Amino acid sequence: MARQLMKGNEAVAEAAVRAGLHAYFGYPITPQTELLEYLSRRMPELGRAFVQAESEVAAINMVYGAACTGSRVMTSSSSPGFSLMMEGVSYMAATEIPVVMINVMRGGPGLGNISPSQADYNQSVHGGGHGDYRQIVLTPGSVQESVDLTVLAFDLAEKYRINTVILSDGSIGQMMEPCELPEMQPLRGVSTEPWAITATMGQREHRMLSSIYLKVSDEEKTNIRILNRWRQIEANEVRFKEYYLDDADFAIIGFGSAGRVALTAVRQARAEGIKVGLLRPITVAPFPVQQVAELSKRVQGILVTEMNGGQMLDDVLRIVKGNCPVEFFARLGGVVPFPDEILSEIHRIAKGPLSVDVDPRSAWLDRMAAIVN
Amino acid sequence: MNLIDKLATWEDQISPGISACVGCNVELTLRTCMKVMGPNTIFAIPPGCMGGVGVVGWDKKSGAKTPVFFPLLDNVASMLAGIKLHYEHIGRDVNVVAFAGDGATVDAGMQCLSGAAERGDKIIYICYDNEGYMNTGYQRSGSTTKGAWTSTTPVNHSGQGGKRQNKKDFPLIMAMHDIPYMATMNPAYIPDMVRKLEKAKEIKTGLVYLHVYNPCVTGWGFQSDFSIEVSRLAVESNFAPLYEVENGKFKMSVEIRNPKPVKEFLSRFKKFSHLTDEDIQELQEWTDFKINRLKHLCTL
Repeated sequence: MARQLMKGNEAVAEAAVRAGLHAYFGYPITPQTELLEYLSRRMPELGRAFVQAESEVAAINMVYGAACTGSRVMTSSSSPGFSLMMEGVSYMAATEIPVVMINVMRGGPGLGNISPSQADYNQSVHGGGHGDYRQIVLTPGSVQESVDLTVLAFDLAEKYRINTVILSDGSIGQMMEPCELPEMQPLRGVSTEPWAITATMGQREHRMLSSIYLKVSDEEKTNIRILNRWRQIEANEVRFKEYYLDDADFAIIGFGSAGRVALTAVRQARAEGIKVGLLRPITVAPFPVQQVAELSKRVQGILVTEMNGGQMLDDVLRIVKGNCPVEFFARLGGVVPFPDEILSEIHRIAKGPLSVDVDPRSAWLDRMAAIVN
Repeated sequence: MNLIDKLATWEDQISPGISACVGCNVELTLRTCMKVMGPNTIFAIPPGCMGGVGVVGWDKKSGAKTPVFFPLLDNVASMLAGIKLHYEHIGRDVNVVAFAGDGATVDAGMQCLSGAAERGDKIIYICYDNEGYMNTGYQRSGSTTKGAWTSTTPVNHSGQGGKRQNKKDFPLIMAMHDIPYMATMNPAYIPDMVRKLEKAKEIKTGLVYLHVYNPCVTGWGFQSDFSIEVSRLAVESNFAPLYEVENGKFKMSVEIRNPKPVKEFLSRFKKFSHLTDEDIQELQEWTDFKINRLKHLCTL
């Protein structure tokens, strides 16, 4: 299929349609609104369901209801809207149903602004809603990757009956890039999944989906089932991209937009002869634990770069366990780093000296004082 | 003091230089409302046009001259309820005012507004109804008129589409909370607006709800110099009648003896340009039904 120039938000919407999206529920919020607008035209055209809800709380619970029928359903929002959705997200995780959610992140906390950010990492990766649950979190770095990961998200959500989040951001949602869309999949009929609530029509036994287990031993079993399933996901679904790591003395770890900016800096550094590489996690949940652990044993230092205050940094530190020094660089609150900034970080790290005893966040904050003030 | 003198004397509580669209009648509404409310006011503007144009003071150079809060779409009334409680506690009488769009009022914020009205929180809640989420590019809301094009109720090349549901009658919903005062307002009727705002300021027994009907130049599609004219047509056609409800008693504020056909109002906007004669007839009947019900309520 020919490549076409598309806006990130619209490309994701079309990819979902082609992946067999039955129903979409959403609410306006910048920088995600084009996704909603696109589907308001596209879904009715194909005889599928589009609903603009009266709030994000309503939207996520419409998703909850529709997902219980085994249909392919999706919602999208941006950071503050996702915070509102958290009750529904926890309930869906407890009910063990497949759902796809697109978070086009913006600057926060609070009302923040409408510029790109990665500050919802913890909310998506380490919960956000109440209770013990996990969800798959995919992080695209381009419009093409957004398209591909959207299709994958539906498959993973259904394979594991789990919430799957595409953690995008305002720059990827708003930018236009050439991309290749997938073939249109035929729309599935009523779900044949053995758990789906589809009306018995007097033909079979009743089924039950629940997020309430008043008998505590049943709730414990449910929690353990969810965690065991997560172990499978960790074993099978880790995805990442490696650039120039084979002979690298130093490694950068960054996801999504930050990873993409870092790649430009890495290429510039390579041109200068600095042996630096990049690990860009595609799945931040499950996290590429093994890859980071191995990397930490063979490089002289790791630079974590994000558009937040070091949320992934904490995960990296937990995995590296002092094997090598870890450094940190971030712009946040809606500011996107320039490749130059990361390049000068590479220069600083290549020059050394580095120490495993330095708190990378604290050191970065000290360096930031000169930049921000 | 007559109205002209009052408006000339009262200080504009909104600075010059806010970035509303040319001909925006919500800006006029905001300035009028806040002039009457005066400097002894704390107000809140949730995300929406008037938040977006800088009234909350993004650059610390323009915006409101009184303290202003920026709540979210779903919590305007709750946030103000909390603020009001503090001022009641310290014994200072201050106007606590919401200036919110219809999305924040009739959709996402309805639950907390209803709660505040029922509890009798002493706030003045002003809703500027431009029938949609304008600040994100005009998506439909529960307040959008049936048939209207919006960016999420598209119209195809053969003229089919538009919103399929009727507009929520939110002024009536709020009146039915039995709050001490509910009134509808219109930017083409400034004397009426000022009178209602002055009355609202005097009420100390519970929540006041004021609903302003504001045709939107950019979203609805009409020339900016007709901003007041089309607003007046909404009243003259009984499409958005001016009335007030004081302690349960309904009263028309502006009686329209020979109402104009709603077609005259609807035909002024691009967002209705695809409507058929049958569609317009349906909206005429809906308008007739509602004005008759309202007039009946006025007899009770």
